[in-house]
Amino acid sequence: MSAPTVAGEGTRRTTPLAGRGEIVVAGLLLALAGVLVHGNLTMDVVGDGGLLGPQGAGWLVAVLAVLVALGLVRSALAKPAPVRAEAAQVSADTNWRAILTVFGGLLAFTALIETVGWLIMATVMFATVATGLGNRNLLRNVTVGFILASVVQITFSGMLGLALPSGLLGRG
Amino acid sequence: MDQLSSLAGGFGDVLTPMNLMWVLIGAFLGTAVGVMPGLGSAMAVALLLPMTFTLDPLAALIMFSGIYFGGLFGDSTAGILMNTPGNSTAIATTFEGHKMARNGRAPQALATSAIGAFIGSILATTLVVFFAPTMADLATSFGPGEYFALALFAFVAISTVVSESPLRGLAALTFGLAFALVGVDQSTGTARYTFEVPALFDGISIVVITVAVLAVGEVLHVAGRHGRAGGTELIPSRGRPWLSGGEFRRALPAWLRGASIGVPFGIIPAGGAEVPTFLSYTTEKQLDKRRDEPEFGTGAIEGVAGPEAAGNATAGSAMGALLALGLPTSATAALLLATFQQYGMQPGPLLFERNGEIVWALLAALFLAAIVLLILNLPFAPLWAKLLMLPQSYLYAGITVFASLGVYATGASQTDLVLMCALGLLAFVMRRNDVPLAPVLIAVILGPLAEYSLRDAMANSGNDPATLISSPITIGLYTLLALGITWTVYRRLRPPAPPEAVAAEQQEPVSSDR
Repeated sequence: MSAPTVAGEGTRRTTPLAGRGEIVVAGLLLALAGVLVHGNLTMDVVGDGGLLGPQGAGWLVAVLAVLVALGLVRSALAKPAPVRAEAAQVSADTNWRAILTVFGGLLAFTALIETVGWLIMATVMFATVATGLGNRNLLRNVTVGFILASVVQITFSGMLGLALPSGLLGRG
Repeated sequence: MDQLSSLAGGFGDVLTPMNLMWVLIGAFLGTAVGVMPGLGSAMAVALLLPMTFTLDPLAALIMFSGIYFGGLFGDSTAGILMNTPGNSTAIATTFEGHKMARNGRAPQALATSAIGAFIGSILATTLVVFFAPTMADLATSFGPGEYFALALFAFVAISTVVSESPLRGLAALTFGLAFALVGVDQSTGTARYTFEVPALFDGISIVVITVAVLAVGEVLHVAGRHGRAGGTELIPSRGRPWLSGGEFRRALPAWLRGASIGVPFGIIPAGGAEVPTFLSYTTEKQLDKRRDEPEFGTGAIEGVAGPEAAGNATAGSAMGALLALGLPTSATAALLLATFQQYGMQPGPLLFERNGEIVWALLAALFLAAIVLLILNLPFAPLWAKLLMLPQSYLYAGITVFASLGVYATGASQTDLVLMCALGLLAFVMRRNDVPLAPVLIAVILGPLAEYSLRDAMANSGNDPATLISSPITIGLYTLLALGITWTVYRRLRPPAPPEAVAAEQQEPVSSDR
């Protein structure tokens, strides 16, 4: 089970970001703070909410997010070189293709579940994830996925009365 | 003894063939999900939640009691046989348990863990039966100030005292707090951070967040490591699945010590059973050092017995805190809270009066679940381990399908799926940077409680901050918190611990890659 390493990852090590993944987390926190501030400024406040009101908690969390983000950036910049190299190595060892395949399967399911339906999309997602995780027997992946999707459909829709979208197959 | 007659009534409700079947199914499914590498008891509850939507409340809660304890047991099975604890609460069991398995004593380790789980659960549930009504009475005197102090205590404890890097813990906490803010404000009716998306008016469901953060993040993480170093191997469990008299005599005191360490922690909202399981592990290790021939490090039976009993005792008394105070002290408890609310019941001081019958039936079901699991797991634990032999690709593909099903089935909403993808990606980024995930869940669960109690406290007192520290309970909690922070600072300033202890502390909840 050893897939070839993804080419081109080695070049990343020289960039200032390499081995400083905290900066990504800090960026996400700053984005979060931005969304909260924007939400607070455009909020259509109903009634009187008292001292803090509906926005108070948003301001507090936004300030916390900025402070933590700054702390993370500071600790990332102060990281000793050996620790950084190790972190960069882990990042370079990542199988990005597998991640993208799996995530693609999830996105396809999300986008198409209501139009195409559970049975087909669950099968597709199962096969995509299994293939992404290195199982190259596509026919068997699809078969196993289809059986699983059918069993779920029968148990949930048939026995428990939970509606799953039938999509294309329902109209045919 | 009002409690005993109420409990007898509860058993009367539960002991029907149909309800027994739900306990059995719950225990079975809970164990099955818990055994899966990377999936713990919280995931078991989250994934199986949609299955209970069509059941009546009693049947659903009965099934959950089985899932709840079953998932916990499954966590340890994976930990002992594969060194991959399904949940952070099973890490302490794994240290000695996996070593026992390596020395060819896997069945005994599994049996010790099954009996330990049983003793912990029974003891804690018994205490809940006797003290929950008293706790509920006490809780009626809790005001917004007390609840705010409890929530703040939980936030600080989980993000700084319990986790390795306070900064990373706080980062996780911040994300969780922000997610909890989305939706219509309960006190004014203002739509907050919904960006005109109607599906967000009700907020982001706890099921979506749990599944995304724990399951999707895990699948992406595994995908990223596919074909790279760090495979795990499964140790087969063969031989007698029972304990010899000598083993039993050694494990018994450890079970009891573990259970008594675990019980008080269920009531403290510090993120579940990590702390008590580690405390129990350390206690047993210290006691072991006094022996003529210390066994820790080579697979000591006490190292499995103590933490396992502690973990289940915490889970049991967490149920008491949920029922009596309405305070979820772990992610699993929060999902149960969501289940209660779905049926129009609000856990808390009034639950025992309003829905007494169901509460007592649930407590009776917890006893039953503990017994069923002992019967199910003592002889069959090696069979569960067969689940671990599924090809990894199918296992995670199946998890992805069930995760999406769970998210979609709770609301039949595409928005929930979009959120799941986004949050799953966030969880993946966090895991890669060693940001702990538990604070996210605690913040989502207790964030609203903290916010509304703070606002209520301010409104009731005419915006006087002193109201927050005006009662003995609040002063006690803040003192405890200050002590915890002092101890953490002291621990960090001290010279580094010996390498073994550091390695133990740094182990991730899902350590399949180490």
